[in-house]
Amino acid sequence: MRMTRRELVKQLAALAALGAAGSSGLARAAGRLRPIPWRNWSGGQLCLPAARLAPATEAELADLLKKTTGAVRAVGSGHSFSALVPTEGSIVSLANFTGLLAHDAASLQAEFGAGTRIADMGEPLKSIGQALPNMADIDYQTLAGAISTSTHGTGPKFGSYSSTVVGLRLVTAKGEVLDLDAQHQPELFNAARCSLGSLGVITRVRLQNRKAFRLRRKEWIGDTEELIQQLPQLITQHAHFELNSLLHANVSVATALDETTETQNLPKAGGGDGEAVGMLEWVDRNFRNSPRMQATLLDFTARHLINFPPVVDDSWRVFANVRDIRFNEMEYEVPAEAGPACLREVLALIKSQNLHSFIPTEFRYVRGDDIPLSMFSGRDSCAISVHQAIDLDYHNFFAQVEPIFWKYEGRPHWGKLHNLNAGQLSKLYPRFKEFTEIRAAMDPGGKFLNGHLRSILGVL
Amino acid sequence: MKCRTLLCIAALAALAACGKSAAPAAVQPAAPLTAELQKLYDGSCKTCHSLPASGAPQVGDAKAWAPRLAQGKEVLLGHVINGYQKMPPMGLCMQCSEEEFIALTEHMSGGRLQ
Repeated sequence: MRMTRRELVKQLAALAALGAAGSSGLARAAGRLRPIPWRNWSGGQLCLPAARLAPATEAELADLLKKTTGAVRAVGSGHSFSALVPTEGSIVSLANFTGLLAHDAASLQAEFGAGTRIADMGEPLKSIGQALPNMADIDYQTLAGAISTSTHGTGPKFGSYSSTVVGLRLVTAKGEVLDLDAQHQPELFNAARCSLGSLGVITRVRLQNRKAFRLRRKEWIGDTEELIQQLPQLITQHAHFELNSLLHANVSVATALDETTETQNLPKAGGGDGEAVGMLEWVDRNFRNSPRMQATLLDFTARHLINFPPVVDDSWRVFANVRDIRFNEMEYEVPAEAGPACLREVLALIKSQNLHSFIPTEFRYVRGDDIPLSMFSGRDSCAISVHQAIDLDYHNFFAQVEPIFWKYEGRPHWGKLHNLNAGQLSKLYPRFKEFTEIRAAMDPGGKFLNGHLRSILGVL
Repeated sequence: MKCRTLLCIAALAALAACGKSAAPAAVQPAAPLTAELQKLYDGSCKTCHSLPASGAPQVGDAKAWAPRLAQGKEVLLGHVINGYQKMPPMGLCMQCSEEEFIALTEHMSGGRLQ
């Protein structure tokens, strides 16, 4: 275990010393061990947990959960923007539950430790002739974090990561170790496929994969309104399609990924999206108060200064991108048929009100599923995301956009920022009560809850 | 107005060209880690610090690390723990101790945090 009680006492003592030290004492205290806060990837969520633990085995985890009286929140890679993790209790890392554990060639299923990062799954899956059917556009998340929030890629025929889970192991508040699938406690299994860490700690996950495959990525710039009108054809022609619309401009980047038999790699160019985003930031900084000039420059930049070379490679190398600019994000899933109208309205509001942000919106398709708390429960959806650079205020920007999502009965992505609570969420999820009853039975004492979860699940 | 637009476009073109000329830096092999630190490195730091596309200083790239080491232990450790610019808080290692953050940083930089 990473931190003993004695070490914890030392941390708290150091914290007290820092508080009492004043500025001159800070320098002296800096030479000693310091309390280490937990923050998420964007830095927007913060807590000072009583302990940061990394149990080495399931038995150690079970013992920890059985004996701990305070709150326990499992943590993955910290890539959720919402307050899923912050606690004054213990945070438990799954860093010791990683790697490919088992696989079956006939069914194309594979089992991984739940703390495995998605980025570390492509190679081992290829070695056994398998691949994830679809992936999100980043791969920093851990498997447990991704399924616990129904994280997703794009494509109307593809569900979220949660929808590909065919079995999982859950360690409960009482320290029981449960192997769940469609045959063993099917209701609990289905609820656990997207459960925000509120039912227990997931230690291993079995996924339904497909044969390894290769992808070709094609990207192009188009007029935003024309691309929106072409969406029905584009999502029929391409297995995976998404639209990234430049704010305060008239153009979007269209991205289409399709399976290919081409054997020669056309790898991605080095570098993340920092260069392109840097240009958008430069225009924002210099022309934010000249909207017509801003739109002209953005349209020109996108059409002429940003390259979009084709990419051909193994599927997992094409799906995932390097995001080297940190940001905060709000995302809502709206019924698929309402997606285009909702996107138009969001873009129009940002432009007409000159709302301050320069990171493009993201528009994707996700197939519906039958998981009670999945954002895609019972309906095919369009996922629409707005972003804000970490050094700009996101609260007021998101607060102005969010009511548009509500108008279209949008459900907020569990891992992204939103302002809804159980009162509103229970109306958006037909099976909300089913989930909350299962949660109450599994964790009547609320060991796996924090303030945020109490608010969104309606637990007093 | 047209003249201003052209100037802006030229500036943007320069910006676009800026990032494309960087040559890969010479990288020295780093000293081996203990098995436990290697596991922490593989599960967190490696995601960016062995991926040049990430823009992070690469393991063994002394030139890239030099200005960072020059800031001193407290500044650099603060950036590691709390995040700074592109560096995510805790470098994605949710369970690392202060000593482990120091050891991992020294491994990647090839220098001593002082």
